[in-house]
Amino acid sequence: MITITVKLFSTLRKCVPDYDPERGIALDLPSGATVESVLGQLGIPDSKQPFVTCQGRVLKLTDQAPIGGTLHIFQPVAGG
Amino acid sequence: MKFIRVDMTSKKVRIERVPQKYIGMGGRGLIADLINDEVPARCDPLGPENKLIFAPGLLGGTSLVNTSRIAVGAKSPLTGTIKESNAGGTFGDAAGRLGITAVIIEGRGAGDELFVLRIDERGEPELIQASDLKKKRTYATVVALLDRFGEKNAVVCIGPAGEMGLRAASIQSTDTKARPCRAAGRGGLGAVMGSKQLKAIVMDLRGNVADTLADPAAFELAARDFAKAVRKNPFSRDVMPEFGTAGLIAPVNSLGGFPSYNATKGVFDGWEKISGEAMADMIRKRGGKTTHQGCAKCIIRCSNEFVDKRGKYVTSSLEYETIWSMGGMTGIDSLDVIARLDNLCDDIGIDTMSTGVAVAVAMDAGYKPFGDGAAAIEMVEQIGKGTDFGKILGNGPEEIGRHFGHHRVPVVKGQSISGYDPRAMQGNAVTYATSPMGADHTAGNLICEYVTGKLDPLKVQGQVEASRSSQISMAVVDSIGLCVLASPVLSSPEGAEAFIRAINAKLGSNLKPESLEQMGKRILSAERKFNRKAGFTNKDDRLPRFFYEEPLPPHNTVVNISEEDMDKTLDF
Repeated sequence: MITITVKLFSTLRKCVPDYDPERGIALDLPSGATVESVLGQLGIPDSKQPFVTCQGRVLKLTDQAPIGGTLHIFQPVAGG
Repeated sequence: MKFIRVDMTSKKVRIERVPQKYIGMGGRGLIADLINDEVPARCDPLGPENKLIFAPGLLGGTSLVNTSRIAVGAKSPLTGTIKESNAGGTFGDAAGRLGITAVIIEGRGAGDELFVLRIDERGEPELIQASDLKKKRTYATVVALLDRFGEKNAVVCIGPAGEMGLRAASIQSTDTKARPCRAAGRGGLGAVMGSKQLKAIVMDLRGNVADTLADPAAFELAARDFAKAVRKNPFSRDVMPEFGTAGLIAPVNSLGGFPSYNATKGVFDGWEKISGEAMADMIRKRGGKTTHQGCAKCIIRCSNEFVDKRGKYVTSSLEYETIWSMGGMTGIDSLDVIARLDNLCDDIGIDTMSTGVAVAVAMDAGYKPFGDGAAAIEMVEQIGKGTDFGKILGNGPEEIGRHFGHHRVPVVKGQSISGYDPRAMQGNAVTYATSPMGADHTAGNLICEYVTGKLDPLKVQGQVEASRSSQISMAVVDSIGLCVLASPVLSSPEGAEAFIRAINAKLGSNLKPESLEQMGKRILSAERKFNRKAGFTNKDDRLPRFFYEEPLPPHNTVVNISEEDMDKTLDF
């Protein structure tokens, strides 16, 4: 098992009941779990078009969730 | 279709039929051609030869949603280049519904009188003496003007900064609640308006003589389909109404590209305190509005009303770029202070972005410590008062950098960058360097490509092409009068198809997607042509040295785009 921390932004905060924006969510995952499985476990639907960053980089859905890392999950944004 | 031409030298106002060569044009594209045709490129931007143009987009005044932008153009006193800066609110839609293609302000009077241009509900213009408004701030100016001309008017106006001819002065535009909180902020166009001795334009909101549509039925269908696409897009449907553009603070920091402490770090230490999420929670708790319709014909509702602890209005709308410039760049992590600074800038009539960056440069030079909110407010107040220091600050970051002899001044062609560090977002480096407008957040911003993983922001590969494509699209968007926040819809097949169908139904044309690309290229080429005549060369399409030499944490990268690649960007 690995443990990661997840922080949710924009309307994705509503996907998890009682989400605490300061602490985020600690998730226990099987070793080798992908970003896609994290989204699935949190119940974030594809229709929200989520994207995930870790340490300043955008991750692919097939990337492995980094051990001990903090994932930030967003919805798409454009400039303005 | 008419031009309203106002000669401030003779004080004569006349209505002209739009010459054939300008028919089918609007907003930024029309401005590019008019400035090329009528303004001597080497003229003094604050002299009588410069012209100030207000032009709604091609679809301004129609039923197409989110097309109420008003484009303002002139030769810029800040950059020395051609400039188009556009604002939301109600003015652009009002102009479109009066069948006004452009209002052209030219010449310059003698003496120190001040005037207001009033355009009534039939579209009839009149120039009125208004020296009683001298030195009035913009909120008080609007109150006085609506008291005089009635509530059913849109206003664009300048504050003391524009009257003083400061090179970062804005033109403020009223929102749906008649507050001058929308800005054509960039390029110092408020100073051009001040040089013309024009305090405001007051335009009747009850106009009902918009230009005819070639195919009204087809237009309505296209407009309906376009609105549907806007409502379906997760960005405009979910993120914008809840957080507005402030929703960008979290992802841009997360990518390490949020220029902080005068662009010495790419992540702001207190970003979670000033994020869109924190702002929305705060506004909601205090009884303000996280969403409302700020602009005519808007269905996205990105605007908010920020209130203080007692629930009293402070500003609308608190946006990403201002939170970045007045917060991240200055090290101020209090939304209350940032909101106060935003309102102060709107009231004085000065660009929040240039001003925040100028404050940050002064702090970086040691004038005041980073994070000192009281000092920042006091500095901006000095602009309004017109003190010697205030005038230096109000002339933008380059002038303040010169004053303090400080090297780290994040500007291109004299205009500050926006809230995306070019070292962490290499394509935005290309846009900042090559845009004919100087560094600009709406000229070709690639944040959407970066967050969706379509383009690696740190790699050189693909950046020039992406910047080019985005700059071409934005030239079109700014000519049609579409809000930049509705423009992501154009990347969906149904949105793009409905958009072009609406343009064709308006013009009776048969334009194809490639025709729009040609339109964008033609506009950019016209703008570059003016800049060439004004003395600019490829050597001006560069970023300041520190962006190539000082690595930005956390990625510790510098700008890596070669000069040769920069020069290829807009070489059509």
